[in-house]
Formats: sequence, structure tokens, C-alpha cells
Amino acid sequence: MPVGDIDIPGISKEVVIAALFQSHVLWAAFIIGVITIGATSEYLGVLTKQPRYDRFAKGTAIAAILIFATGSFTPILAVLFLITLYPVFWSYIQNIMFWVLLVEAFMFIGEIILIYAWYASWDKLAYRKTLHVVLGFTAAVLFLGQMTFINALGSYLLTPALAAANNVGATYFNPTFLALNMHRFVGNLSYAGFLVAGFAALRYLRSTREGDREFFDWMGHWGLVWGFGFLLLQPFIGFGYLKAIREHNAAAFDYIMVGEKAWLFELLTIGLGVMGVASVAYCVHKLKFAVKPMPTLRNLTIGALGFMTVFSLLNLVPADGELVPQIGLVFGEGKDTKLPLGSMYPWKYIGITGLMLVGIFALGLYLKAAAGGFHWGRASRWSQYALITTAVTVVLTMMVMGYTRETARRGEDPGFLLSGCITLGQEVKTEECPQATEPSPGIGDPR
Amino acid sequence: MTGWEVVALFPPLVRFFAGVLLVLVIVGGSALFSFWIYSMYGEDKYEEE
Repeated sequence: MPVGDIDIPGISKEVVIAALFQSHVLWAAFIIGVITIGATSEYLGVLTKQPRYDRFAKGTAIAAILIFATGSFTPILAVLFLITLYPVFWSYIQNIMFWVLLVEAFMFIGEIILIYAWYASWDKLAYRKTLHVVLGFTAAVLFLGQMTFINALGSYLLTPALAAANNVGATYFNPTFLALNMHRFVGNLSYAGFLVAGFAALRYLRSTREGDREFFDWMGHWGLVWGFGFLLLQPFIGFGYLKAIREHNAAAFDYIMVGEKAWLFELLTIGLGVMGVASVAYCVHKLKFAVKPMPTLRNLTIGALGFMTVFSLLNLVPADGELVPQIGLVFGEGKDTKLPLGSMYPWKYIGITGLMLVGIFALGLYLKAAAGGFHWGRASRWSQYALITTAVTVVLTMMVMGYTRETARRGEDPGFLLSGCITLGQEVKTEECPQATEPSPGIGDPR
Repeated sequence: MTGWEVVALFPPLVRFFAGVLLVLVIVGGSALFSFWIYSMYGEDKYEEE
């Protein structure tokens, strides 16, 4: 190798890069989601003339500008570490993804200008509200664009396009790009929604003024509608994403679905179950405070809570006795001990589909009641604990999912940074890489 | 990579949890920092509905 192969003592360079990028994405995903929800809320405030939408939207702008510094400092630090610790990998990927990274940089500038302008002009543009709403939506579009462009890179590492690496269009539209983009778009809104709900719950529990209690009670409801609503789309889109991974990187799919790291999906089902049950439990509680009493609707939602619990438990049943081999959590004969209700077909399909349908049913009933209005400010402490639970769980779920996507590249022996082409040890595979183009000292023979 | 760094590496399981802890420290620390700054913001006046 032409440059030094440096490692970090103790925790290794892999952990340093993973921790920095994951710290970044937890903030970045939140900012994308919360700006989108905030801009939409501001527009709803214009349409409905209800001041709480505007108060909430301004709160999202404050949150975004407070967090933006950390959210953008961590990736700068991460790229610095990436260049230092993985110089060979970085030089190749920067060449392949030059246009994507260039656009990223320009979108970054646009975001800085727009989110600060959106916040700073809140009062100045109070009488030109439409223009102000456009500022918010434009910022949201830039954030979504930035996520889209980095998804091109992220998905390319796992499933490189079946074309030469200098075919810019093909590298952009690599096999899992669209699926990943949809998954993250929906995921960001759900993630931000649950975090908004959790934050509102904390503020509600600490509020003493009646006006604040009403507002934060409403804000918890508003966050949950976004969080739970978009969560219900995730299993379906996630299935499409996994299908794309199976078709284009079978080794990675096997590694995370039936192999050594299959326990990650156990963690995911725990997360989905906790968020689903807590959300429906919150809806059941809230229906007590509907302005127009709806006892039948509430009883139906209690039934939905029961079904949600059953489907969540069904999703939890592991396929075999090999639970987490890395820590010796294996019972019976390991892989040979098959558990009833544990197979993917039909049980997990029934569980996941059931969870989605029951969730849509419960949310539909809840929204019907919400259209008639609730008495705000009377929610119990336990309903707020449910919201906080969803917020904590969604963070852990995001961490699990991020780790899953990145660790999947270990599935194909010996483990790859760029699937099939550059190994974890930064060895460039000259023969096996179908994306290699020109003869060069690093990349190998022409194809 | 054949240097002394390999000898000094923790086992994979320890590294995994070190990574999780690192994420929680970075994200949790920055969240607390943001809350601290937010505590210095004044409250907006919004009329009750």
C-alpha cells in the first residue's frame, strides 16, 4: 500500500468511523424529518388559522438551528477520519462519486442559508406568510436532496451498479438506491415524529401553565400521528429494500437475515412491537378525551391494541435456537432447533402484515376522533410515558438499522468496504470487480 | 496492518459495545448541550385559542 495503514488502538478504526457516522445520521435524520414536519405545520397554520401550528413550526426551526452545528460537525470529522484511516478506499469512492459529493457540498451551503433565514425571518415575514412557508419547504427539499445524494453512495457500497464505475448514471441508480431512498424518506419522518412526541411529553410533564399543558399535549399527539403513521409504511418498504438486497447481494442478505447477524432483526421486531403497542395504547387513552364521546370507537381501539400485541409477539419468535452466537446465546441444537411460529413464511409475513393493518385501523379511528377535537391538557402521566418510550425506542431502532446496513458488507468473504471490489483491509480486488474500468496500477485489468 | 495496534485491540464484543457507548456519548452530549442553549432562549408569546 502506498500510504500508511493506521489503526486506532483499543476500539479499532472501524468503530471510530461507525460511531462518528451514526452520531451524524441520528441528528441529520432528525433535522430532515423535523424541518419537513415543521414546514408542513406552518402551512397548516396558514390554512387553519390555528396559532399552535405556527408555534410548533417555529419550535422546529429553533431545534434545527440548535442541532445543525453538531449534525454537520460530526460528518466533517468523520470524513477527516475516513481520509486518514481508509485512504485507498476513500480515493476510489471519491473518484466514483465525485458528482454526488460535489452536489452534497452545494446543498450544504443552501441549507445553511435557508434554515437560518427561515428562523430569522419568522416575524419579519409574518405578513408575507406564503413566502415564509416557501422558505421552509425549500429548506426541507434541500435536506431531502442531500439525503438522496448520500443514499446513492451508501447504497452503491452494498450493491454496486452492474456497469463500469465511470458510468455516472448507473452508479447513481444502483440496484438498491431507490428502495433505500424510500425507506429513509419515510423513516426520517417517523423518527422525527416520535422524537417530537417524546420531547412534547417531557415538556408536558414539566409544564404548570394551563396554556403550555394544552400545547404540549397537542404537540405529543401531533408528533405521534407523524411517527406512528409513517412507521406503518416502513415494514412494506423495508421488505422491498431487503428484496433488492437479496437479488443483488445474496451474501449480505443471508448474513443479516439468516446468518450470524440475524439477531439484528430480532432487535428490530422488539422495536417495532414496542412502538406499535405504545402508540395504540396512547390512542386508547386519548380517545377518552374526545370532545364528542366515542365509546364504540374506543372499544374497537382496545381490540386493536390486543391484536397489535399478539402480532408483535408473533414477530418476536426466533426461527431457530441460535439467537446471538456472538455472546453464546444459543439453546437446544442451535440452527437445528427449529421453533414453531418462527419461520419467515408464513408466520412473519402474517405478523408484519397484521401489525401494519391493525395499526392503520387504529390510526384511522384515532384520526376520525381527532377531526372532532380533543380536550387538550388533561392527558395522564402514563400516556406521556408511552410517548417517551416511543422516542427512546425509535433512536435504538435507528441505531440497529444503520448498523445492519453497514455490517451486511461483512457477509461476503472476506468482508468488503465496496462490495466485491475493495476489502475491509483496503485490498483492491483486480479480478473479481466487475466495475473496474481502465487498466491502472490499482484497479486491475480492463474488462 | 501488522503493527502494535493489532495487539492492543479489544475483543470484537467489547469493541461493539464501545461503539454503541461512543454514539450515545456523542449524541447524548450534544443533545444536553442543545437543551442547555435552548434554556437560554426566551419564550414566544402566542395567544391561547
